[in-house]
Amino acid sequence: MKQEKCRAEVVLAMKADKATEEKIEAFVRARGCDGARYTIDPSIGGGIVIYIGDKVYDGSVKGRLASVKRSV
Amino acid sequence: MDYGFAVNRLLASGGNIFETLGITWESIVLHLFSLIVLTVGLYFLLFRPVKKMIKQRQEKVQKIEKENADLNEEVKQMKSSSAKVLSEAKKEAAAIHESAVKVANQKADEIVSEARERAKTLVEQTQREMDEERGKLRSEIEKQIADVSVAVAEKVIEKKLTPEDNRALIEKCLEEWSKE
Amino acid sequence: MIDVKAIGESLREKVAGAEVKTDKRPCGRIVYSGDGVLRIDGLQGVKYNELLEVEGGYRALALNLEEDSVGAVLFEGDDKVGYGDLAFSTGETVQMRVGQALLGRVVDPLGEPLDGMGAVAAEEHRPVEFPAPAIMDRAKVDKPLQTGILAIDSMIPIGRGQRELIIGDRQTGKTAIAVDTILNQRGGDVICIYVSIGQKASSLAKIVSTLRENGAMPYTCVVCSTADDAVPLQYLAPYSGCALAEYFMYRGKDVLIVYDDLSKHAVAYRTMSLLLKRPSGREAYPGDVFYLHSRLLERAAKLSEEKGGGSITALPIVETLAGDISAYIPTNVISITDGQIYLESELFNSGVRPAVNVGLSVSRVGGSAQCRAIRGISGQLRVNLAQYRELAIFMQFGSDLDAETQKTLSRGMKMTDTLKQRQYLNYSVREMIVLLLVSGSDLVDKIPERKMVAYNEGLLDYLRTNHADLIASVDPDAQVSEELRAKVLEAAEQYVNVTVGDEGAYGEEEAEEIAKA
Repeated sequence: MKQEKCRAEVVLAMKADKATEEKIEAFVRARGCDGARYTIDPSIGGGIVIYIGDKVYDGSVKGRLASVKRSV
Repeated sequence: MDYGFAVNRLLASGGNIFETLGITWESIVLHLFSLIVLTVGLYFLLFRPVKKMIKQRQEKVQKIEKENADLNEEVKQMKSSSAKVLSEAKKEAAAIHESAVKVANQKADEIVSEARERAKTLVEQTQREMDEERGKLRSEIEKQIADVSVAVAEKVIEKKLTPEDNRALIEKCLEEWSKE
Repeated sequence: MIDVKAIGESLREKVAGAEVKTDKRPCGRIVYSGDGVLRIDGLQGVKYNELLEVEGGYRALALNLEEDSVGAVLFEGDDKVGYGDLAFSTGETVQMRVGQALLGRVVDPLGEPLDGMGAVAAEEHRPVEFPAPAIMDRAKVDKPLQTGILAIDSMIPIGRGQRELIIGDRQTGKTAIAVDTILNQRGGDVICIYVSIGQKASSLAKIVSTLRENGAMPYTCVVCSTADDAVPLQYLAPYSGCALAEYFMYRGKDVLIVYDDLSKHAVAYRTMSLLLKRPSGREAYPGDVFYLHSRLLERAAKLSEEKGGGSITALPIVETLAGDISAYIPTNVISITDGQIYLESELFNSGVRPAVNVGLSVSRVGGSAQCRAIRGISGQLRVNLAQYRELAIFMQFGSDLDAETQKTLSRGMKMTDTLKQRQYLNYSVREMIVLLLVSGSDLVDKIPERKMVAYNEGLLDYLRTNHADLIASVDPDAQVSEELRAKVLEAAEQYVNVTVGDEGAYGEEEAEEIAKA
């Protein structure tokens, strides 16, 4: 894994406030990344999606609904 | 001429004929002897073989007659046995016929039971297919309902999601991930 | 009727039971997609042969692992997956659904039903790639697998746990032999799996309907990939079939698996390898095409008693071109298997069906598994037939023949006729013993030359109805006693008299009538 290039990609439904951003920053740093790039995408419905390296953390409303739909 | 002369001499001689003819007893004996020799010779040379031949002929004829009788007997016997054989053959034919019928019957039974089985499986399969079709339809409906519900949910959440809720959601997610 | 209320109920239940989870899993981005092949950036932790899930619910198989990308092949939806889509690793290898419920079904290589008979009620899964049984877990092949085909069971016997190749040109009856063998297991204890690899859907449908009509489906599972299925599915089909077979084998059952056919499997693998840009070798096949088949066929085995004593008998089929058995794939598979049944189009066209070339066909381990009774009778058969063929070739020069030679020729011809067999007409072991006994005796001289086939069929019918006890008294596991032999010949002579004698009697009658006239 190429750690030096690691930059987390964070997708949000709407712009987050300072406190949330700090928390996200901390979370990302804990996983060995030096910073986060933010993208606003209202289509995810709400919540957060973070891509770090080859991992995806999907905590979006859309993702949850999809998982419920899959299990139904 | 000679004959006339001889007869004349015979008549002339009168009494003694033998003398006139010049026959002496020696010549008679001689003639007798030669006759005996001739007879005996003929008997051996001609009579015996002819007799033998006739005997053989007779034997042959007898043999043929006997053979004829035998054959007649045989024909009689054959006639009587052929009736027996015929009846036996009839019996055998009946047995063969019976076995053939048996084979045919068994085959027929097999075919009938097979057809019956096939009909049964066909019915079963159709039943299964119907059930299957029903199940498919049902799951299709469920899927439609789920799709609609999700669409509705998305719409509602989009409208109602406040920044506070969003923040709470994000924080909850982060916490959850951090735990692991 | 459809119960609408029940639908609502079940949906509600499912929603209540559904677990709301926030996903966290490894993923990569697709940087190339074409011809069913994917190149994925990222996915560092992925393993060889791992199942991947592509955004949209499509599945793929990771095959090329490189420094910073992964080459994979798609099982489905290659027209829906595009650049930039996410691919997730699942941490699982490809799994085949297994279980008793698969018997009687037609499924795809991942265990999904294709016969429209509802979901497969089997929740167990087995990895499609699985190591072959170890040496110590194996036992000697000692039980015969009856194909019901006289020519094969008498001269090329197949044992349970053996791998016997069926090889021949197209249209020589390769599949027919395999299907006949499956049909012959009816009422027995053998489970059959028919794996179709890249077959025409029409011929596959025919096979399935044949199996169904003849009552073979209750103990048979058809794993199929047709010619229009994605190449990876065709590649996977034999391994999935084998996984299902292993499920039964490790439960102590005897399984027969037919791979129809491995030449198409090799072609499918070649397609995949070329698209994945792997280096190619002879006939453009990749370097590991031998291993491709050897690891598959090595999984066929007879397990030892401690392991349950189950077995997998494999009947791979390979198609040759113009009878060339020295091509790459045929030689490979011949060297892997324990013998081959070689079918010839020349024989097939001259009416010898099954068109087995007895001279080139061998069975390397089946001999010891053959029924003792058949082994006792058929020992001389091969030699006699070889002699007959040699003589028949010699006879073509058309010289005058002495009575002895003529007799040998006529007997050889009748023997060959005895080995002919209609499709779907299987003989039981006992019937085979009777046929071999009769056709090897002096009795055949009484039968007219062209009537041998009809005579054999008639004889069996006659014995079944009139001498059922005689057939039942034949013991396949013991040498044929002189007494039994005499009895069988007596019964056969009766039948000869019934049929051939009939004609004689009729002839006499006719002669008499002519004499009277």
